[in-house]
Amino acid sequence: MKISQKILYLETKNFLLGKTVLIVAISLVLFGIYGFYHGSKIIDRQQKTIQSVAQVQKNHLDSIVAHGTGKPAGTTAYYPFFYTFHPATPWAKFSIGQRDVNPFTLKVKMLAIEGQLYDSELTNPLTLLVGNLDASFVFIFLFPLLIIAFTYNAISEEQENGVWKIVRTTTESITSAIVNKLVVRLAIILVTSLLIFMAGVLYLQLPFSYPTLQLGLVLLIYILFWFTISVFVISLGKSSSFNATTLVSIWIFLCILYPGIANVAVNSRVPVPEASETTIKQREGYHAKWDLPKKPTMEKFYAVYPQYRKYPIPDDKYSPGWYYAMQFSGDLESAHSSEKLFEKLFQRQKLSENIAAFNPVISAQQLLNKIANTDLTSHIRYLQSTKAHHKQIREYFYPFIFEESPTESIDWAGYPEYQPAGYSQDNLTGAQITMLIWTAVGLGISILLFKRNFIHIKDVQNA
Amino acid sequence: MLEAKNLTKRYGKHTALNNLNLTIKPGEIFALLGQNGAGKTTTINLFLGFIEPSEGWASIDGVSVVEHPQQIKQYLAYIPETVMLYPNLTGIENLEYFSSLAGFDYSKKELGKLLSTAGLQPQAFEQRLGGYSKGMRQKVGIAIAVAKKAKVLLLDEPTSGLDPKASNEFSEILKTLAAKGTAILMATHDIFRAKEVATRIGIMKEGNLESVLHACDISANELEALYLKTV
Repeated sequence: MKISQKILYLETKNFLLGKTVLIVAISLVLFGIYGFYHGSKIIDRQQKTIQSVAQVQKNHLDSIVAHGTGKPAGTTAYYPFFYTFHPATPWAKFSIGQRDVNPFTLKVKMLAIEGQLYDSELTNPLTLLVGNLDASFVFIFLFPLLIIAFTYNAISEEQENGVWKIVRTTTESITSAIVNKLVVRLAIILVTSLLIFMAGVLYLQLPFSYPTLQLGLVLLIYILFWFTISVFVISLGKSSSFNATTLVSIWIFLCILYPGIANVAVNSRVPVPEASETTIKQREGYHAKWDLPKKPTMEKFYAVYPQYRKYPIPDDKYSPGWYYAMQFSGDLESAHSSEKLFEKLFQRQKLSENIAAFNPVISAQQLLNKIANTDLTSHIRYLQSTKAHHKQIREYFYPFIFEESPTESIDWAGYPEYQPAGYSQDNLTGAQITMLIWTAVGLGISILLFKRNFIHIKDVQNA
Repeated sequence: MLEAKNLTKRYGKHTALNNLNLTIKPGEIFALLGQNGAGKTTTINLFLGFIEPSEGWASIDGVSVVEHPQQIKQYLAYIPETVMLYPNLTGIENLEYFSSLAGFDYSKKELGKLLSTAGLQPQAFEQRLGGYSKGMRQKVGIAIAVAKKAKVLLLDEPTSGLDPKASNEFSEILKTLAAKGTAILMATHDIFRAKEVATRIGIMKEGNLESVLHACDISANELEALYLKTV
C-alpha cells in the first residue's frame, strides 16, 4: 500500500470543494463560538457571584451584630448565614456539567446542617431538558454529526455516480485508494477539531496545563471513535442513503436513547430517598426535642463535646446552649441517612461510569466533566467541605453561646475561613483505554469488512 | 492481449454469457454488437474482474483475471458509457490523480500533452470537470488510458450519446491507440461506428457470440443486414 502526496493533495482539494463541506464546517464553527460564549457567560456569572460572597458575608454579619448588640451570643447566633462556595475551575467554561443544576454557593446557619445542604434553586429548568450548549456539547453531540457528514458517502457516492469503477480499474491497490479517501477526511476532521479546540482554549483562557492537555486527549479519542463508527458503516458497502440513515440512527441511539435509558436504570438501581429522608429525620429529631426533657438531648451533645458539661442547662426553661445542642442532635439522628446518601451518590457515580464503559458518548462527557470538576463527585466534595465548614463555625461559636457572652464581645469575623474543595485531578486512564478499545475493535471489524466488501468484491455494485 | 476460453457466466438459471472463446491481439479493435442483454457488458465485466466466471477463464496479457485480479489492473484501462470523474477537479488534475493512482508521475507539461493527444482543447485543461461535456470527459478517460500505458482498453458503449463530431474524434483516437499496439474490446450498439473503427466485429445474441467478421470484408449495409438477421 502506497500513499502519494499528490493523490492526497488532489483528494483533499476535491473533498474541500464539495458543496456540503464548507456549510457543515461553518455551522460547526458558529456553534463552537456560541458554545464558548455560553460556557464563558454562565461561569463568569457564577464566579462574579462567588467573588461577591466575601463582601456580602461581611455586610451581613455587620448588620446582624448591629442588631444583636446587648443580646447574648446565643440569640444573635441564630440569625447569620455563613456562605460557602464552589469555585469554578478554568475548564468549567468548556464543560459546564452539573454546575448549572447543583448550587455553587450555599449559605448555612449554625442550626442543623442536613436540611440546609440540599437547598438548591434552578436558574433555568429548560436547560435540564436540552442541556447547555457549551463547548463540550459542541464536541460531544455536534462533532459526530460533522464526522458523519464528512464521511458517510466517502466511497458510496463514487459508486453511485460511476467514478469508483474508474478508480477500481486504474489502481492495482484499491486499499490505497480507500485509505487515501479516509485519511484525507480524518485529517480534515482533526484539523477542524484542533482549530475549534485551540480557539476555545484561547477564548476561554484555559491554562496550557495538564488538564487542558487531557481535554484535548479525550476529544481526540472521542473523534477517533466516531470516525471509526463511520468507517465501520462505510465498510458495509451499502448506499449513501443507507450509510447516512444508519449513522444518524447510531448517533440518536448513543447520544439520546442510551443516556436516557441509562438515567432510568441508574435511578431505579440506586434510588436516593435519603436526601428528603435526611432532612425529615433531622427536622423530626429537632422538633420532637422541644417537648422532651432536656437531659437526654444534652447527653447526646456531651458525648461529642464533653467540655460543655460544665455549663448549667436549666431543665424547665429555654437556654441557648440547649437550643444549639438540640440542633446538633437533629444532625446526629440523621447522620446515618446522611452517610447513606453520600454513599448512594458515589454508587450512582460508579454505576454511571460502568454504564458509560459501553457508550463512549457518556464516557467522554463524564471525562470532560471530571477534568472540569463539574461532575457529581465534585459537587459531593463541595457538600462535604460545606459540612466541614459548618462544624468549624459551630465549634468556634459554642464557647460564646454556652458562656452566654454578649454579642458585642465576640469577634464575629474570627471564625475559621472557609476552605473550598479545591481542584481534584482524577485518574482518567481507565475510561480513555475503554474508549480506545471500542475504537480498535471497530477498526478491526471495519478492516475485515472492507476486505470482504471492497477488496475481494465480486459483484458489480461495489466493484 | 485479451483472451477468453469457454468463458461462461450464469445468474441462477439464466446464462448471461455462454462459452465465449475469443482472442484479441495487440493492435486489434474488436467491436461487440448486440441488443441489450446480449452479454456484451457481462463480457467486459468478466475481463475487468468485477464478476467471477461460472466456467472458463479470462486473461489479460497472459495473466488470469480470476487468479490475479489486482495485477491485471496495471494492464487495462476502462472507459464506460459515461466517464464520471471528480467534478471539483480540473481536467488536468483528474488526469494527474488517476495517473498517480496508477503509479505514474507526470509533469504538468506531460499531462497537458496527454490531454492534447486525447483531443482535449488546451483551454479546457484548467476548467473544472463539472463543466465538461460528455465528449470532453470521454477524452479525459482516453488520456487516463494512455497515461497508464494500458495494453488493453475495455470500452462499454463509449460513443453512446456523443455528437457525430465527438464520436468521430473518439474513433480516430481509438485507431491511433490500436496503431500503437493497444488491444481494444468495445461493446457498442452503433453498427456504423463499429464498422468504421473495428478490426473485427462480433455479433452477440442471448449470451452467445453468434458470428465474428473482419470489418474490412463487409460493408456497413451488409453488416446491418446481418445484425438484424442475427438478433
